[in-house]
Amino acid sequence: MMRRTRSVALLASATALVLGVTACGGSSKSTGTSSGGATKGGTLTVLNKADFDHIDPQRTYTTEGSSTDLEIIRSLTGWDESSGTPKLVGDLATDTGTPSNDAKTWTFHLRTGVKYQDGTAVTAQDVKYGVERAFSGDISGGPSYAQSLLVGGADYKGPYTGKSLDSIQTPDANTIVFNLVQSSADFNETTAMPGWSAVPKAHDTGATYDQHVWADGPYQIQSYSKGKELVLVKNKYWDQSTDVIRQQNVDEIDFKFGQDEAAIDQALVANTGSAQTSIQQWPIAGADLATIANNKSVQDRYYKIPAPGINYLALNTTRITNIKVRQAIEYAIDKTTVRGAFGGSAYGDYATTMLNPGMDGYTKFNLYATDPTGDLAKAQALMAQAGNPKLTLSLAVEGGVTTQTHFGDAVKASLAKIGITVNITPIDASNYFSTTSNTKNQYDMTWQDWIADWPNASTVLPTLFNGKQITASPQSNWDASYLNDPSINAALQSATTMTDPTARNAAWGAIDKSIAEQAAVVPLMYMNFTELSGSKVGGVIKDTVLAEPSLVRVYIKK
Amino acid sequence: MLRYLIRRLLAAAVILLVISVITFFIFFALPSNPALLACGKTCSPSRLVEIKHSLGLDQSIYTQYWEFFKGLFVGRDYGDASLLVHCHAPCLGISFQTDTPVLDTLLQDFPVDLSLALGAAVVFLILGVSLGVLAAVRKGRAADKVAVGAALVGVSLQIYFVGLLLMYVFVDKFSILPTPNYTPITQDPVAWFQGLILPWATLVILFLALYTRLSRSSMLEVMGEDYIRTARAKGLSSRTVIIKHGLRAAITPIVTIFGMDLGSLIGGSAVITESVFGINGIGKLAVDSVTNSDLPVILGTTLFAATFIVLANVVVDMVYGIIDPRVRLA
Repeated sequence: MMRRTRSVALLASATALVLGVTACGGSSKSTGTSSGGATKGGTLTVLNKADFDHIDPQRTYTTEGSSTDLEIIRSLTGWDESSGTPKLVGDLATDTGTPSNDAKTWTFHLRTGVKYQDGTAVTAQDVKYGVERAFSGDISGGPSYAQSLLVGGADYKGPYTGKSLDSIQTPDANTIVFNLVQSSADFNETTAMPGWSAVPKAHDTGATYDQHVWADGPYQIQSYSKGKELVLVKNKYWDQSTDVIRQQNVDEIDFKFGQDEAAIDQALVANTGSAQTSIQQWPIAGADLATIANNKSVQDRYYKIPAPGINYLALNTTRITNIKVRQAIEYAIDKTTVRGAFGGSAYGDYATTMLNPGMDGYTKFNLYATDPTGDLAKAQALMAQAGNPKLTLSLAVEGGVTTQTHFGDAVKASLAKIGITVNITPIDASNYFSTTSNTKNQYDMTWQDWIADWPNASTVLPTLFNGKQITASPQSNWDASYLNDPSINAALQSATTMTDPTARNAAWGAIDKSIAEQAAVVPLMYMNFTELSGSKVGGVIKDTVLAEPSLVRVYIKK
Repeated sequence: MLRYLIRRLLAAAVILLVISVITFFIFFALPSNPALLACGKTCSPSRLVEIKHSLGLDQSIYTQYWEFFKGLFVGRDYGDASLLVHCHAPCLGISFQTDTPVLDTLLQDFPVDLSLALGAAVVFLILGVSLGVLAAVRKGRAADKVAVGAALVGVSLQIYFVGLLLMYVFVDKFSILPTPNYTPITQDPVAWFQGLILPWATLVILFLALYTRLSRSSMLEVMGEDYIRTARAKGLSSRTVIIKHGLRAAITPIVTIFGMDLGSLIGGSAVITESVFGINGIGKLAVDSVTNSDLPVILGTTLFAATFIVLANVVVDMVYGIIDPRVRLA
């Protein structure tokens, strides 16, 4: 899952000043929270620094866009997080689907009574058409699960060519069957992504569908001015009895785009006027995070959401070939200074694994230093075993982003203690991942982060450590450590297709450990995402799947 | 006069053409890959080919430029046969990022920049020149020092800081003004005015010092001329001497700078102000387009801004002929 970088705006110092003022003299109003149920009516304002890349369900791949799609469209399955832990439920489908043929075939039955904004019924054929759209070159940006999982997906070019994909069958208006190229026990978690949803052909506007998404969720688009404002109003044909995830409490949701993130943070902290009924989807700016996290007056409207995401340092194993040196780096990195660079303890807990706690497949272990400051003696001993090479290593970080500059400095200082000189190379932030995922890059170490598409190791380890992609997709290689170990590649393939959950989770945990043994990456922090709302916003759910404040049951307090 | 105007406009067209060529080729010389950005995080090589085709990036640079140039006059068609999108002439292309025609976005954003620029410019020109004249006439006295000093403090403050501070005081803390916002003047003139007060104030604070100091020094120079002494000796009132004889001569360099400032403000140069207050105009559009490697929007915003700067220069030259009789346009 992509997300916009938690960046530090131009305004860093200025804001710190103004926020400082706020922290002392700021809101002393009581928020008057009542434990009573949701109230109906009102307008929620969402303050975002930028427009979504896409809200076309087949194109969105950002946490903000996907979270917004929850209001407008319904996917086959979804996550009910009202209890505090994510639970997979049927959304358009009556249940979480039925696997057969060793989980190579999945059948979903649609609920009856789910209607679009014009009152017509959602059909299985519309879901098939929706999924097929993602294959067109015009419908770019979305995840590639459909292409890699569905039979014939590699060659299919989308419905605009007049052809349909035979591996998706719709025996009747309420049944849809997917035929997969391999066993996929968590396919029904894949189908909780927005792309696995219905698009009526008559209302498909191709590349411009972002502005014309046809709603079957509780809200529909009233107006959408790209880069400025998106206004959602109630879909009067949405029926609460067909939906276990959402409620339809507020009358209107008004997304405003383009305000500076420091100005948004400032307005939400001050909590006056329309800011009281506002919320943000982009995380609090890095420079503001520590101030806001320590501001007691905002704690009841401060959402710290543990994301299924990992912040890590990738060591290129084809460039730093000596495993002793890589292990020395594991021991030498001072994670306390690294975390300080990203905003301190509010940013997240120290990581020792690539899989996050709470994710299917997570196994707790720590092969290296027990103290987050590192273990210099062990690191120096390992460097001595490696013959004390005088190394100079390059480190790629995002350019022009203060947190990243501080991160680079922290790594440089840590490694200087074991005789490694680090050359920090900043890369333009908007081109950062396309540069580091291009196999032509020449960096010894790169900063990376990754958010799972759903809380399962299957959306983390195969993408980040399958060495086959180095040659298969040289411009989009996420194996940033260039680990290409035949036994790990085989273990990843085997775990991906396992159908027994217990065996599968154990297999993921074992792979995570063998990657750590190779010292291919230094896991740094399990990431939190933090957002603020105004005091009159109620019913916000911490969505740990999307790492967003979920608005599916939001209401405005009277 | 007319021949002069036609000649200047033709030259302007050539300048714009050159700018479009330079922008286009610089874009392709830089290491950016819009198709890969559009493709998403996990992108297979075959999918990348499809997306390149969809964006028209699979053609040679020369063909792409020719298509762009032709589109300016005859329009262009986009997309697969089943979902054809026509972009009417003058077509500046369709954004890679938002899939909307660039010209539509520019025209939609234009009133924002026009309101922002005109409102602020009127105030900083009148106020700046008045303060400058006052300072010049009372050179060395308290009024001079206060005017110049205040203006200097204004320009020395960071625009981010001024913007955020104004927001904090007037909106977040005391709720005197609504959150800055752009409402079309045709829809609600009062909301239009209220929503723009703080952005205008920020721009005025930024530009005031320049105009005050410029008017002051220009005025001081003119007031030392022989003909001013002659005018005074004739017994003309000091008001007539200052306004009619002094200011009229002193204003020429100010008009030059003002023309350029206004042109670039309308063309979207007030990007930080736009961003702090969340009033998104062409400046924000231009910055975002560079971040997103969105070539059609980069070209569109560059040409749009260039057009206003070039036109402002032509207008300034025409105005010279009116305010300064010594200038003959031929």
